[in-house]
Amino acid sequence: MINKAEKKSSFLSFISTQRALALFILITIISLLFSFVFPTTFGTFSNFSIILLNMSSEIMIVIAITIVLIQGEIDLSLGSNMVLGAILCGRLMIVNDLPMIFAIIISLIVCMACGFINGLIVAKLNVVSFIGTLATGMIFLGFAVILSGTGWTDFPDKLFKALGQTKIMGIQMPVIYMIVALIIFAFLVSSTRYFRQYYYIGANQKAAKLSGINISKVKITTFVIAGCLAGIGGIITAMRFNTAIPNVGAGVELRAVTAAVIGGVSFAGGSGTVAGAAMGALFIAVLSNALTIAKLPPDLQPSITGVILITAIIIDIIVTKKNK
Amino acid sequence: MKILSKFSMKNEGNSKSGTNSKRDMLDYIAKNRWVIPLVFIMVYFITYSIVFPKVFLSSYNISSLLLEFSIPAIIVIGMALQLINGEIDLSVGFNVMFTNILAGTLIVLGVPMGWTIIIVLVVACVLGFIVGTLVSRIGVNSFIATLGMGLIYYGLTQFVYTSSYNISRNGIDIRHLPETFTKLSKGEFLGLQLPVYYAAVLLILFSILMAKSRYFKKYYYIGMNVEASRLSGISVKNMKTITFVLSSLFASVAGILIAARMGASAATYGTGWELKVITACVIGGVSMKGGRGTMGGAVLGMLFAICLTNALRIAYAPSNLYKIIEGSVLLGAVILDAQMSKRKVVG
Amino acid sequence: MSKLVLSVKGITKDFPGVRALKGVDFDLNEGEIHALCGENGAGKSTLMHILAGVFKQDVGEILLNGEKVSIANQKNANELGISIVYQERSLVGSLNVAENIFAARQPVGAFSVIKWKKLYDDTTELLLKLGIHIDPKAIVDQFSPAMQQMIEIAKALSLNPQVLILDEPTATITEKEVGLLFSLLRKLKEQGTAIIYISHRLAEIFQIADRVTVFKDGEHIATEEVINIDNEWIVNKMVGRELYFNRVEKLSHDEIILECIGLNSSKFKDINFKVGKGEIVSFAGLAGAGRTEVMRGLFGADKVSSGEVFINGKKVRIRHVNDAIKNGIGYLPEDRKDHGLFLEMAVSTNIASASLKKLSKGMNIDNKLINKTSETYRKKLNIITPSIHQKVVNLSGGNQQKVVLAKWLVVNPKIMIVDEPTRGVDIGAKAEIYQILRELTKEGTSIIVVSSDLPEVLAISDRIYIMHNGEIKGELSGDEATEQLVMKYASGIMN
Repeated sequence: MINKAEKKSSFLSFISTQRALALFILITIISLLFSFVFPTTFGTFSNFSIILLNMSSEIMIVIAITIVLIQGEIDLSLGSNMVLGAILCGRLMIVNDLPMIFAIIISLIVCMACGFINGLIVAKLNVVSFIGTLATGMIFLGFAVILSGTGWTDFPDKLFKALGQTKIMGIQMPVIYMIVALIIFAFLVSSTRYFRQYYYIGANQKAAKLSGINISKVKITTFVIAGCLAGIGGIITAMRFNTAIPNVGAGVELRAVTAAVIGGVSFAGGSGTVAGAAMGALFIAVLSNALTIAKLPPDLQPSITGVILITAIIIDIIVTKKNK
Repeated sequence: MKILSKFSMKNEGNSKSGTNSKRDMLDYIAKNRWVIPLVFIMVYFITYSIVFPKVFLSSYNISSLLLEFSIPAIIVIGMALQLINGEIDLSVGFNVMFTNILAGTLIVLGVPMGWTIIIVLVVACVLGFIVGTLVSRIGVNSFIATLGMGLIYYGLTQFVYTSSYNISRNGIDIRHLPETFTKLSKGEFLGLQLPVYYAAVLLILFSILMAKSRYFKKYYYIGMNVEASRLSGISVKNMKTITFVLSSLFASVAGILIAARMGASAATYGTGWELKVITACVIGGVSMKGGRGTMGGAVLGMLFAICLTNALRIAYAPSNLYKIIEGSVLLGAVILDAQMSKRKVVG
Repeated sequence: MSKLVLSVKGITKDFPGVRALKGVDFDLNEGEIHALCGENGAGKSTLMHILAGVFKQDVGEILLNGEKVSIANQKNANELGISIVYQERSLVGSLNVAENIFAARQPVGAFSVIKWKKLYDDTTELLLKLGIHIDPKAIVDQFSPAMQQMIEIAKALSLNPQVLILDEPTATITEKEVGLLFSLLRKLKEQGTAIIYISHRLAEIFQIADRVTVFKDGEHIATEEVINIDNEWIVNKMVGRELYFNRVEKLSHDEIILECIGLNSSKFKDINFKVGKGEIVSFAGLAGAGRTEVMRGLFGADKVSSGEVFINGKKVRIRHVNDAIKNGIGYLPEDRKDHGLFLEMAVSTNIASASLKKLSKGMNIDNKLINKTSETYRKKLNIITPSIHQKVVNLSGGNQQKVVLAKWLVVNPKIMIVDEPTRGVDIGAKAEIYQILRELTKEGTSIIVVSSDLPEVLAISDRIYIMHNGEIKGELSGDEATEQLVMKYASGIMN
């Protein structure tokens, strides 16, 4: 006989350990509910594609921040890096007349170099990643602004715009990139020995070292990958809007952290999944959309997100204490 | 000059050879990182007085510089305290926005100024207390707890703003607040606007308190080692809760002053301020790891940031240089902070 | 005849100020469980660390299967077939059993993609071999400390070691769960693994070990087959030294200053004891006996579920550290680095840390007074430091301990609890600390000492309580106590 207390705790345990699944179920329930109540406005294909499209602009940052958080670090320069990538790409195509493919490659290399700098500062100079990346983020943004002039738009290569604006079966390309990226990274982080190292480092750096993991090397590489993802995100956004301007939603990194933590990624490191973070982002997106359609003041959405964030972490704390 | 003599006094018993004194200087700077922003500020004042005397030394420039400094400086007090005791408060910017709009709305609805101020301060304290309890008793990480709280503030702000905008259509205009209220912020005394004086009083008061008061000294211990503090009889949980109340309180003071200045029309004024304030603190020598730094240093850090903007503006330099310079100074400061643990003497 | 797997000859290891191992020998046979016994500081940990590749010996050689080897680092030790299970957990709670056992060594195919089936098959195979019946896909977080210990052992075994070293494996598990561990160890024995079992829990040694080696003060004292000996033998070998401190004169204490009745918590049971004015009362016992837990409970640092505390005959409620300090209790923590000191702060700042109110002028800190007080104690306790502004982290262990002592001397409590007062302290400083404690008692302060150092306990105590497994098993007066007697109570073989 399972008594009530045990039942309750296993429910909370489920939410904590199987976060991606729990959120997915919650999202499905909310979607079904709202589709039933608002069939013409919420429950339509186009509405869902808009939800996904809006999610796609910052999803790369969500993935990047997830892999950094799992290791027990944080990267506040991702937003600036993203903008730098977009602007450099645009500038190279317009001012330097570079073919699209070269512009993209060079921009990504620069973004990765930025990530490399972050990695050096954190892993070799022992700087706390929060403030270190805050500083580098400022510098990257400064350079992005200098390179941006009045903004780059109307790119010469029509393929560039097409890559961002074409719709396949009603779904715009960025959504497809998002899904591909999520599948790739969810797979990598859950199933490759290389990426699993992040969990060992995040949970217990000393033990990880004893298991033969080269901490510095892995940390630096992580920041490089994060930088690359940020750059990709920036370029996709430029493709989508056919414009590159240094107007990054201030605090995109913190929004990404919010999505990740709601999705079960621990701020202290060592746990969480890409799938979970993606579900966290999707949950916020769906809920916002649903509440807007339900005529709830859209202004209150951040507050609701804030409450959900705090609730999620309290649940995790309760479950952790129970395990002890 | 004073600084050089200070430096040589610390040089007890060491040989004065060339390489050694360079190391000692780095030692000194690492120990007293507020020197960095101070040097910048002094260089700035001297250079610009010579190169742009008419613009720089004009009373308009000086008073607007001090005014721009004064309101964020009040927030620095709360943030410096948070960082010193090993926590962080990311809700500060949103707090400013929220209290701004709250104050404006209350005034417009006819609540007397005195009561408005009291209500806003009390609400801020209560919300700060809730966050403080989440962190100190439930164990939520302060980063996440204040991030969440910030989002809650943000939403509430937007909501109140939109609702009041709707109300304003019916004759009540939140953008133009009664003069009795705006005088709080716009009033002048001896050529300087009032917020400068409020800030000066608070800054001096709290710099002295942090340096001398027994109560505030304990925060340094907490920031250094929570468990050792607890075992030394320091009430860690209570004290941590209070820091959140204080940082919320200071943010709300700033919010009220902004409301008084701009008639609550700037609903997004305050975005990103938490990072701005944290940067100022770290440049001024407050360590992200806790237990180290001074209020005076944090204040100098903020002054440095304002002077930098001012400097670039006067020189017609591209404003995007600001980010790069500030980012580099911050980076330099944190790298120095990371290396600082290798130094032997605390002084 | 058993094959000799490991042979250690003439190992000497020095650390700054202390010789941890003095030319010790040790050998290990295939399929043997060889217990290594000794008090704290006897050298067992050091030898274990040398075998595990953490330290390198200064003198002596290690032979594996007859061949001389040099163990460069931990990875090297693993490659040579030596695996160690420490007391601290190294598991990642959010990952499953399989990924913890094969930490960072999951079987992979192309592009580092994990071969899950092989991983789980390998894990299942290992778990079956060890007789551990758990799901390899289960998340480690949900298991009890005992089961996590087993998983930790499985992790060490996944490297197929010839030699498995277990450091106090039963420290964190209950007696019931020990059975699980022992059946696993017996299985390993059958399979030929050689096991070094470090423990001071005598009952267990007789249950599981084939041979016992006793170390004392860094020396190899004796090795015997378990069937040939008994508890007394081990106890006698572990202790029985020339006491280098003479018995100190005892003062008479009639006034009871502190009385604890029926203290209980999850870590200790039914603790009753008294302390007289000006008395030095020691709590002896082996690591894990629960002494520190009792003291932390008394000091308000940990929760006590029931029981009463009387100070000067009056009942007091101690729920927080502040209550304890207000009632005149001070506590020098066992872990001085993490709990007693603010390492990156100055000596003077540390000395002031528990007495800020006393060292203030009104609401403000009186820096002059703090400096003066710190200087006074620096001289009085002979703290060796270039200045009182030196960061404490730069001081030697003994001097760091003196700083913590000074901190509490400033508080001047009626009852001073000192937990392992001379751990990691050199002989000279030790004597000074004892002297300070004695002088305190002359002024009327009562001292409770928690110590695993038997000579120390015998030299300075007026009375000794001995704890074992969370309970007080014995009480002896300073005069009647002997090392053997104390050790017997501490090992739980005497009631």
